[in-house]
Amino acid sequence: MVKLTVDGKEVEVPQGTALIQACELAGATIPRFCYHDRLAIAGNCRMCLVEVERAPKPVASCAMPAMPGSNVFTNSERTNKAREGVMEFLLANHPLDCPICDQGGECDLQDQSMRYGSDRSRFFEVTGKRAVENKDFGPLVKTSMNRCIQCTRCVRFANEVAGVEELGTTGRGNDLEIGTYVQKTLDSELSGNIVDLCPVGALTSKPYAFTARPWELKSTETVDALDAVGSNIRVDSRGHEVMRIQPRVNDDVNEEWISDRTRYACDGLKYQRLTNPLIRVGDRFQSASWPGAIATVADGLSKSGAKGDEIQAIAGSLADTESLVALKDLLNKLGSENTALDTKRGTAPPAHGVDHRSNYLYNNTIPASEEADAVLFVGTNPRHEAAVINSRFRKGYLHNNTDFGVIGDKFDAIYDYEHIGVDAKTVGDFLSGGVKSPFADKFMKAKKPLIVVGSAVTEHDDGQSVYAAIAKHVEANKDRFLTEEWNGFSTLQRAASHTAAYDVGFVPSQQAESTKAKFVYLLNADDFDAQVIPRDAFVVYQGHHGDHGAQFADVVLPGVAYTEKGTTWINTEGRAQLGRAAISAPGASREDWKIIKALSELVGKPLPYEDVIGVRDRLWEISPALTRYDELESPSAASVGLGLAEMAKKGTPVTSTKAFVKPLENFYQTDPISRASVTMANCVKSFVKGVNSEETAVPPAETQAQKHA
Amino acid sequence: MLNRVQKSVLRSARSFASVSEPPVRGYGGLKDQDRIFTNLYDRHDFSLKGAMSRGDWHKTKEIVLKGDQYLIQAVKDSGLRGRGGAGFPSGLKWSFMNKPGWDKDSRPRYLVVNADEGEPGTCKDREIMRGDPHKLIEGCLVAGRAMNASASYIYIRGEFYHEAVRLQQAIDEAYKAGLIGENACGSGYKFDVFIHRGAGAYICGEETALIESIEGKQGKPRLKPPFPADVGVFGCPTTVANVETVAVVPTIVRRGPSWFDSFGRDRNSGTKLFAISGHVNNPCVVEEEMSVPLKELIERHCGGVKGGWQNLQGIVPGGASVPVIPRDVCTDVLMDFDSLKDAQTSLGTGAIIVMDQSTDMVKAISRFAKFYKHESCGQCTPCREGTSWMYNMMNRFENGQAANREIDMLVELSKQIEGHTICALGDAAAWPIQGLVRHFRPQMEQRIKEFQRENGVVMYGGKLLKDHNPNIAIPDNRGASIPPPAAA
Amino acid sequence: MISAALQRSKFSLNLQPFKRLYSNKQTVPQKTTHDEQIKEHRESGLTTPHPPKDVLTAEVISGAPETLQHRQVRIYKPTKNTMQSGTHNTHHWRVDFDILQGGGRWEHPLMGWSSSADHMQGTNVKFQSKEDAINFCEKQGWDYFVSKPRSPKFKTKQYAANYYHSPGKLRLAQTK
Repeated sequence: MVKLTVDGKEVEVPQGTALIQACELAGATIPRFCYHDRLAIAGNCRMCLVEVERAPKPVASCAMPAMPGSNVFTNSERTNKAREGVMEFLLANHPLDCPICDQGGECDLQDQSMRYGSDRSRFFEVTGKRAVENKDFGPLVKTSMNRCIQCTRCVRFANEVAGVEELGTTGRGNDLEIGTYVQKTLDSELSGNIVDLCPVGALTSKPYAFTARPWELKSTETVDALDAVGSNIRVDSRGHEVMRIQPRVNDDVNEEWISDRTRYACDGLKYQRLTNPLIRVGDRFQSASWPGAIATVADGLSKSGAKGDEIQAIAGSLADTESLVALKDLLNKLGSENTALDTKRGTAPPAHGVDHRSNYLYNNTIPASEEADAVLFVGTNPRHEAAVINSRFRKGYLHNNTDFGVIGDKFDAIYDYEHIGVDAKTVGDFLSGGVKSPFADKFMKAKKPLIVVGSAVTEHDDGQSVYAAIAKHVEANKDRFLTEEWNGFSTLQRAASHTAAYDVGFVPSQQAESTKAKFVYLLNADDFDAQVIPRDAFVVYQGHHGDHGAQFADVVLPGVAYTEKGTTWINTEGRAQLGRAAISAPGASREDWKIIKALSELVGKPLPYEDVIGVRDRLWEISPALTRYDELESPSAASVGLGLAEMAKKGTPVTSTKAFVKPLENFYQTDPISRASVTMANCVKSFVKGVNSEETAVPPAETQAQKHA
Repeated sequence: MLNRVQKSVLRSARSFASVSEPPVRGYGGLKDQDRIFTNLYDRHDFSLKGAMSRGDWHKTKEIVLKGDQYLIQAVKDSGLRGRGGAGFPSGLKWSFMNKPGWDKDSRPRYLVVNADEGEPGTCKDREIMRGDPHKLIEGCLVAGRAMNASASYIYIRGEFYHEAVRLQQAIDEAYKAGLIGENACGSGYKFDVFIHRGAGAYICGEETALIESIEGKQGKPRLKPPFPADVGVFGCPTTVANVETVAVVPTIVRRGPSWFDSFGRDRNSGTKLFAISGHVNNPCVVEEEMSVPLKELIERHCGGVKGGWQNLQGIVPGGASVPVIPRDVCTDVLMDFDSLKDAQTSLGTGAIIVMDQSTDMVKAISRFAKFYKHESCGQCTPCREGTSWMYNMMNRFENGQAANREIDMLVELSKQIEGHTICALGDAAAWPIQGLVRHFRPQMEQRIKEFQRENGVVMYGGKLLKDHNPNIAIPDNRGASIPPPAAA
Repeated sequence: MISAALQRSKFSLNLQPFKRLYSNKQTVPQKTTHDEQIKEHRESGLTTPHPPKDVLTAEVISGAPETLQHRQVRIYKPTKNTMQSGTHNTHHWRVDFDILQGGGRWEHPLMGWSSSADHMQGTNVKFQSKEDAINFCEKQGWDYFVSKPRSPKFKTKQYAANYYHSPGKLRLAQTK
C-alpha cells in the first residue's frame, strides 16, 4: 500500500495505482480526455497534468504511478495553467460545431472548457483550422473527424476490447488522422461503444443523428432483453418514443459495454407493432375490442375441444418471467403440461433437464470468465450470442493467457482458437482424451478450465448424450472444475426468456411432446418451425410485433415490448434483474401477464394474483432466487455435482456425427424487434453482405415528431 | 573591465549550473595524441585492419573480462555525459541497468545505440560511422558488457545508406574475426550487434520513440516512467545511448578515466565532436576539448566567421533545438553543458550553426518552426497543435504580417508547450522561438512596423484590416482598433 | 387505507412475500387470512422480518389526491452517463415514478404530440441518502423498489503494462 498526499488529504492506495486513480480516491476530480478506466493508458491528451512536489514539470497523472510520500497538488496555479494551455490547444483546431454536433450537452470538451477554457479565443490564423475527411465506419457510427482530438480511445477500444484491430492512426503531427486507412467499415458487434467513448462529437450514433438533445430525454434504467446477457441499459425516451439506448455501468454483467443489437435495435420498436386485438376473419385480420378478442379466445378454446396436453403454449425469446409464470399457471390449471419453447426441439423436454439449476445456467458467472485458463466452446458462437461476454473472453486472452478451443461451427472470433471439430462425436473424443493437440494438452492440465455449452447442443438431436459426456468429464475432474472459487461448467443461453422459462418450469413433459395440439397459445413466439403448429389448431398469438408468429394466429392479442413493461428478466447466469417501463404501451396493448390473467378469468380458471406484486409473490414461491434482484447466488459445488450426476446418467455414449447447427444466422436480426428495425437491416447490408453503406443505406426513419413537425 | 563571471552575475540573479570558480587554465587546443577519433575525415582505412592499426580492439578481451562493476565505475569516474543532447551522466544512467536483482530477471537485455542523427546541423555521428565504425562496435561491446546486455541494436537513420553499409561491413568483419558474437574477443561473453535502419523521422531519435520503432510500431514516444532500463525494447531492460557516447568508452577504459576527466571543466569533462556549419570559412567536424571557448573554436578550426567576428549575428550552439545566442554572448561563452546552460541555451549535440549579418534571423527560426511542425509525431496535444500554430505565426512574422501583441502571445504559447509534452520535442520546438524573442525582438518589431506602415492595420491572426468587408462587424478581441504605427 | 398502504410498502425491499398463493401441488387453495399468513411467515424463521414501523402517512394532512397514493416508485442512484467522464450527477438518490398504466404517454391523434394523463411523469425527487428516500416514500404511501447502486470495481492501472515483455506470442499489438 502506498501513502501519498493529495491536496493536503492523505490517502492510501494499493501498489501500482496510477496517480489519477489515487487522486480520485482522495476526492479530487482530474479532467481527462484520453484516460478511461477500462482501456489501456495512453497519456496523450495531457489534460490530466498535475503538479507534484519536487517534480520539475507537471506530471501526467494517468501514466505516473502513485509514489509513496509524494505530495500532489491538483488545484494549484501551475496545474490550472497547464490545463488551460492544453484546453486552448485542443480548441484551436476544433471546429465550431456545437450547434450541429450531437454530443452537445454531454460533451467532455464542453464541460471541461467551461472550467478551463477562455471565454474568447486567441486563434485567428488566416490559414484556418485543420480539416480532416470523414471516414465511413458503417451504418452505425457517424464520423466527423474535424472534431477529433486524437485521444485514441476508439483505437484502444477497437484494439483491446472489441478485438478488431481495424482502427489506427495514420499521418504525423497535425495530419494525424484516426481511421481504418483501407476504407473498411468497423466490423465489430461492439462498435457502438466507441460512440460513448469518444469525448467529443467525432464519433456519434448514425441512427440517432440530429434527432434529440440529451437534456430533452427522460432516462429510465432497465435491463436489455434482446440477448441473454441481461446488459444493464438506460433507455432514453422523449415523449412516447424511445430515442436511444445507452449502457449502464455494472461490473458484474456488462461492465460498461452493450452490443450493437442492444443499442441500435430500438428503432424496431416503432414498426410492425401490434396495437389492437385482431381476430382472423377468413384470411384477414379484423380489429376487435379486448372483451371481444378474449371472448373469442375462450370460445376457441372450448370449441377446439382441447383437453389436457392438447392445450399447448409456446414461449418465445422475449417473453418476460411474469407472463411465463402466469401462462404456465393457467395451462396447469387447465390440466396441461404442454408448455414449450419456440426453439428447435423446444416442444420436447430439454436435454439438460430443469430439475437442477446449475445444468442450464452460466455457472461460471460473467466476471469470472476472464480468469479461465482454457475454455472449450461446445456448439456456441459467443460472439453473436453474447457479444458482451465475448469481450470478457478477449480480456482473458490478452491478460490471462487463456487458450480457446471450439467444437461446432467455425466462427470469426476476436481471439485465436483451435477448431477441434464440428459434430457431437468430437465432444466425446475430446473429453476422453482422444484428441492430441496443444489446446487439448492445456485443457486437460488447466487449473481453471471452463466448458461453455451453447444452445446448439440443446437443439441437437443427441444433446442428452453430449451433456452426459460433458457431465462425466466434469465429475471426473471435479478438483479442477468444481472448487470453492471456480465453477467450470457453464451453459450459455441465447435468449432472454430461456433461463426464466427453465427456472419456472416452462418446459413440456415427456408425454406432452407426443401429443398433437388443438389449441396453441403463442407467447412472443416467433422462431418456431411452421410444422410445429398443426393446421387445424386454434392459435392465439400474444406479442408486440407482427412477425412470424402472428401469421399463424386466429386471434392476436397485443402485448408490450421490453421497454414498456417493468418485469423480471433472468440472465444466463441466473441473475434476476428488474426491468422498468420507459414508455407507455402503444395503442390498446396491455402488459402480458395481465392479458393472461384476463383470459384466465374468462375461461373459468382465475389466476390468484391481482397485481404485479402478487405475480412476484408467486415467483418467490417457485424459487426465491427469481425475486432476489441484482444478486447472484452461485450453487454450491455439491449441488452442481448432483445436477451433473443426473445429466451423466441420462445419456448414452455420444455417437452422432451430426454437426452442431449454428442457431443464430446473423447477429443483427434475431428477434422481432431487431427484425423490424431499419438500422439492423442496414447493418446486415453493410456487415453481413458487405454492401457499401454510403451507397445503399436507407436513411434512418423520421421520428413521429419530425413527421408531424 | 568586468570579467566574464562578474558580467554574468550582473546580468541576472539566477543560480548557475557551473560549479567551479573562474577557470585557472584555458581550454581548447586538443593535442593530436589526445584525440579519440582518428579517422573522422575518412582519410585512412575504415576496415578492421585499419582500425586495429589505429589502436581499436587493443586488449578488448581484458577490458571485457574486467566486469560490469569496474566498467561502470570507470565511466562514472571519467565524468562522461551523454553526447546525444541531454547531457545526463552516462555512468549513472548505465548503472540503472545493474540494479540489485537484475540477474534474477529472465528477460534479455539490450543496448540500443541511437544513430538516428536527426538534429538539424548535426553530422558528427555520421563521420564516426563512416570513418571509425570499429570504434562504435567496440564501444557497443564494452558498454554492453558494462550493463550486462546480451545484444545491441544500432538504430541508424534511414537516410544514412552509405554509413549503414560501412557499419554493416565493419560488423561482419568483427563477427568474422570473432570479436563479437558467441565468444566476444575470446572472453566468453556472448554479444551480438544488429543494425536497424530507420525510415525518416526525427522523432525516432527520441529514445522511447526509437524503442517503439525498433519494435515495429509507429515511432511515437512513450511516457517515462517506466524508464527504458525497466521496460524498454520488447519490454526488456534497455539503455539507449548516443553513438559518440558509446564510441568513446573503449578509449576511456584503455587510457584511463582520469585522462578523460582531465579535459574540460569540472562536471563537463572529456572531448566532444563539434560540427560547425554556416557562415564560417571552413565548416568542419572537429574533436575538441570540452569547455573550449566558442570564439576560439571557430577561429582556430574553422578559419573564423566569414567577414570577421564582428560580422557575426548569432550562433545556434547545439543544433536546431537550442535557443540562438547573439554575438556578445558568443564572445564569452564556453562550449560545455554548464556554461551554455548559464547563457540560457544548451550544448545539445554540439552542432554549431553560425549565422552572420546577412542572415534573416526571423526566417531562420521560422524554418526551425517548420521543421518541428513537420516532425511532430502528433501524439500529444500541445506539440501537435502548438507546433502548427507556432509555425503559422512564424510564417507571418517573416514578413511582419502580425500585431505586436502576438510576439508575447507566441512566447506564451511556447511556454504552454514547453514541459507539458510527452517527449522533449515540444521543448525543442519552443526553445528556438524563445531564444529569438529574447535576443532578436527588435528585429521582429521592426518588421511588423514596416509591414503595417505599408499595409495598414493587421488584425490578430494576420488578416489585413483593409481586406476585411467593412459591412461585417469585428469583435473587440481581433485587434482591429489598434492604430497603426505613426509614419517614420 | 393507511394499513393497506403500509402493508403494500413492505414488498419493496428484496423478498418479503406476504401472500401465500395457490401452488401447483395443492388442489384446494388455502383460505388463511392475510394477517395469519404474515404471522406464519414470521414464525417460520425463514425470513427476517422488518422491524415494525409506525408511519404517519402524509395524506392525512397533505390533502394529496387519492390517485397519488397508489403509485409505484423506483429509488435509485442515477448511473453515470457513459458519454461523459463527469460524475456530478451520480451522487444523489432519485425517486422516480413508474409509468401510469394506460395513462402514461400516447400520441395525440390530431397533432402527434405526446399527451399524458400522468401528472407526475416529469417529477423526480432527489435525496442525499437511501434512507431519506425510503422514509419519504413510506410517508407518501408509495410502493417502492430500491435499485442497487453499482459502482465500478477498482482495479489498479499501470502505464508500463502496455509494454511488458511477452515471452510467447504477442497477443496484443499495441497501437498508439
